[in-house]
Order: sequence, then structure tokens, then C-alpha cells
Amino acid sequence: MSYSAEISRTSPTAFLFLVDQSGSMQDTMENGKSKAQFVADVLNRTLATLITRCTKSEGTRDYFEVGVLGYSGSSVENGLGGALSSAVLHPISQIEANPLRVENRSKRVDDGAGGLVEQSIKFPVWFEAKASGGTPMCAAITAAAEQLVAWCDAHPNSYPPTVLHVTDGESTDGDPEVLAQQLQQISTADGNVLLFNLHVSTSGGDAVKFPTSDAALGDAYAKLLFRMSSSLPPHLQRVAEEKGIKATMESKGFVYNGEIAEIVDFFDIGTRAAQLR
Amino acid sequence: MAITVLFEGTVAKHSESPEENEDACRLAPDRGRVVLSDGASESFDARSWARLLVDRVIEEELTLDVVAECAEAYARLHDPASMSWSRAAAYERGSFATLLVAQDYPESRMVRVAASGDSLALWVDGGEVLASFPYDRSELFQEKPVLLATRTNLNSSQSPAWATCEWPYDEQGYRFLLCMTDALGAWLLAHQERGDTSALERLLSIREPGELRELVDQERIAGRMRRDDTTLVIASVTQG
Repeated sequence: MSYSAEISRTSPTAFLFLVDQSGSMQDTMENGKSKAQFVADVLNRTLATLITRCTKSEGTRDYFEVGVLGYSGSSVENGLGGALSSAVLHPISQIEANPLRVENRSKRVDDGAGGLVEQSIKFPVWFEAKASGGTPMCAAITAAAEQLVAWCDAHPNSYPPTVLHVTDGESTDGDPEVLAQQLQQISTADGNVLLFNLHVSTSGGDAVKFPTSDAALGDAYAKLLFRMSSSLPPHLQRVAEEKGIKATMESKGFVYNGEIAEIVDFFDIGTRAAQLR
Repeated sequence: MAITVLFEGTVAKHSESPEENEDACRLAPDRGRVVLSDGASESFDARSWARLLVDRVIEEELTLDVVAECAEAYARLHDPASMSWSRAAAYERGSFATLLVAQDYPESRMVRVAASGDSLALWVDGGEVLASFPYDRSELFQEKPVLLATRTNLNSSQSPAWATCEWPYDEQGYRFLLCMTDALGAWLLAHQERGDTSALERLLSIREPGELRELVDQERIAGRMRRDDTTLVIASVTQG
């Protein structure tokens, strides 16, 4: 249980997103976006970052298998469409090859002379904002467990899967805490499944990353998600510290209203320059 | 003194894909120069970047201008406008590599080593390690190294972009200069820290590529050496 298995094309790891698409995700956040739109942007940006890390001049290397489960109403569905709708987990090269569309967006970048210039960038979209119905969080965690039991059986020596759960925390099909604990009991020979929770909230306040206690968390949903989150193993504490995020052995994989694209940097797929922190 | 190359060899991260080896090495023993580079695997085209660096720096002094010219040559290899979104994004992120330059200065009776990143040079007298550079402890290999980047603003922002050291020698005597990439360096220093000289003895005895391959395979299987492209240069520095 050391989280030391090499992540490679012959021994990939898995990354499963669990995304709340319930009606409460229509609520507007302090930044003016709906929670659903915030989540869609975060997820698309995170997928793009993950793919970019794996892409070399000859193509995208399959260091990861990636899937998305969306949940709303009373059902849990594959969150990816088109050619990716046939299965939940896919080699990342298949994710790269099958976005729903690639948008042209612009971002402001340093012009090297103290100013900013607009730069055109390609922004792939795999996941659309959606918000309706109830929040079957227990069903979603159960579906994730089914996927990951099968994945771990097929990859017994791989670095264990990571689940990134994005929600506002208002489960409508029961208490998910025990199920979350059971999800984290699924394992490979290298360690248990790790569950990260991103809590999106209209309550505002500063973003929180990897807190050591729930004392500063404002509401019961945030406290529940904190308890449901995995403790950060030592290797992830080290990576968090390298990125300037305070982390200790008490830190939990919980983020409140924060950016999570950097979480995909937590996986070591080979030498990475310190400049890319 | 004069440099005699006793061994130069490399073992790819995956033996079935030697063409993916991103280490690069150039030697000029007549000019007392060894140049080694380890392209970072999380890079768009680290193999080309490492090769451009060693091909240039074997001929010229290492300066930021030379690195910038290598970056221009790298840019000429690629056309981001014609790339897919993912390749363009990865290209934009840049390519990264270590650079280790060892130069003998016989008139000054010393070897000067310049190092960017975590490729390792060792200075050995008989069976005793006199010095290692840039690292002297195996735990330092766990840190993410500052590397030479194709995005040159990332080089100039690091101060300095490389570190140097000088290893003096007597007119009489015999030294080994070993240059190696990080997996081998970490493995060797870990042995030395335990007072176990067997790793150094085994490295110093290598003269054939098959011997390096056998060592690396054996240590990888045993879990004692990280799986990575692995390159070793052994040179003797003797009275000329």
C-alpha cells in the first residue's frame, strides 16, 4: 500500500470523475456562473490538462484511463457522449480524439514587455453543463464502485484509481458517507482508491484546498464531503507542498470552490521540470 | 592529464522501444569534453531537445545564448499552427532536458563540471568517491529538477540556469570521471550512503553495453532502480 507503482502505458492508472448534475446545480455562484457551468468548465479544463501532460510529438500516450459519471434525477449515466458513450472508462488517447467540439477561445497572456495580449486558443469540450432533478449521490458512488472494482481486478498491480467527485453536497437518496468509505476500500496491490471531493457552493468565501479539519467549513454539506474525502497520502502531501499548497498528514482530499485542474499534476508519469509547477 | 573514454552506453526505459530513449550524449575525448543530456519524459519532444543541446555544447561553451539558439533550432523542427489542439498545447508547454558538461583543463589541472538538472557526475580515485555533482545525497533525486527549457524565459528566470564545480587533480595520479543520468545516479548514491561500495565497483567494471543492460534490468526487476532511460559514461583521467 505504497502508491509507488510506476504509471506507464503498460501499467496505467484510472481517473474517474463523478459529477453532480442535479437541479440545485442551477444556482448562481459568486463568480456569476451557475454551479453547473463552473463544474463543466473545470472538468473540461482538467481533461485538457491531463491530456496535455500525456501528449508528445508522436501522439497522446495512454498513461491514464479516464471516465465521467454524471448523476441527476434518479439515474447515473455516462457523462461522455458520442464515441465515448459505449463505456465509462477509456484510454486517454480516446478521450483526446473524441471531444464533442473544439471551441476557439481567447486568453490574455503576457506580451513579454509588461503588457497583455489576446491569444487565440483551442478549447475542447467533452462535457456540457446540465442541471435538473434530484441528487442520487449514493447511486452514483455505487456505480463508481462497480466500475472501479472491475478496473482493479483487471489492473491488480497498477497505481490505484482516483475519484474526483464534484458536487454541491445535497444528496437526495440517502447518506453517502458509508458508501464513500466503502469506495475507498477498493484497492490494487499498490493502494486504496483515493476519493477527492470538490464542493461547489453559492455561499461564497475563499477557496479552501486540502484542509486538516472541517472547522472553517461553513455548512453541513461541506463538512460531510470533508469527512468523505481520503486523507492525503505522503506522496501527495509532497506534491501539494511543491505547488505551494500547505498539506500535512491530517490533510484531506477536499477542495471548496477551488480550481482542481492542478490535481492532475499529482500523478507522476516521468520526469517533470520544476518550472512546470 | 588526458581523458580516455572507457565506456559509453545507454539503456532505454522500455527495452522494446529503444527509439523512444530521450537521453543524448556526445564525447570529445581529444578535447577532454563530455556532454550528457536527459530529456524529461513529460515534454513534447525532449528527445530532439536533448540532442540539439549536446550537439551544440560539445562544440561550444555553455551560455544562455547558445541555449537560446538551440531553442530556435528546436522551434524550426515544429509547426504548431498545423498541429492538433493537444499537440499544440503540449508544444506550448515546452520541452525540458538536463545538461551535464564535464571539461578537462590540463593546464589548470582540473575538471570543471556544469550541471543543469539531475544528471550526475562523479569524481573517483580508485574505489573511493571523492565528490559528486550536482547532488551528494540520493534523496535529492526525489525533487523536481530545474531543467533547460525550450521556452527560454524559463531559463533566464532561473538564477543561475546551471551550477558549476571544479575538481582539481595532481599531475601524478589516476582518476575516473563518471557521468550518468538520474536513475543510475540515485541508485549509486543510495548504495554509497549505506557504506556499500559494490554498486560503484560494478559500475567501474562495465566495459560492454550488455553489462550495463544486465545491471539495469536486474536492479529494475528487484525494485532498486527506477525505470527510466539510463546512460553511463566512464572516462579515465590520467597523466598525459
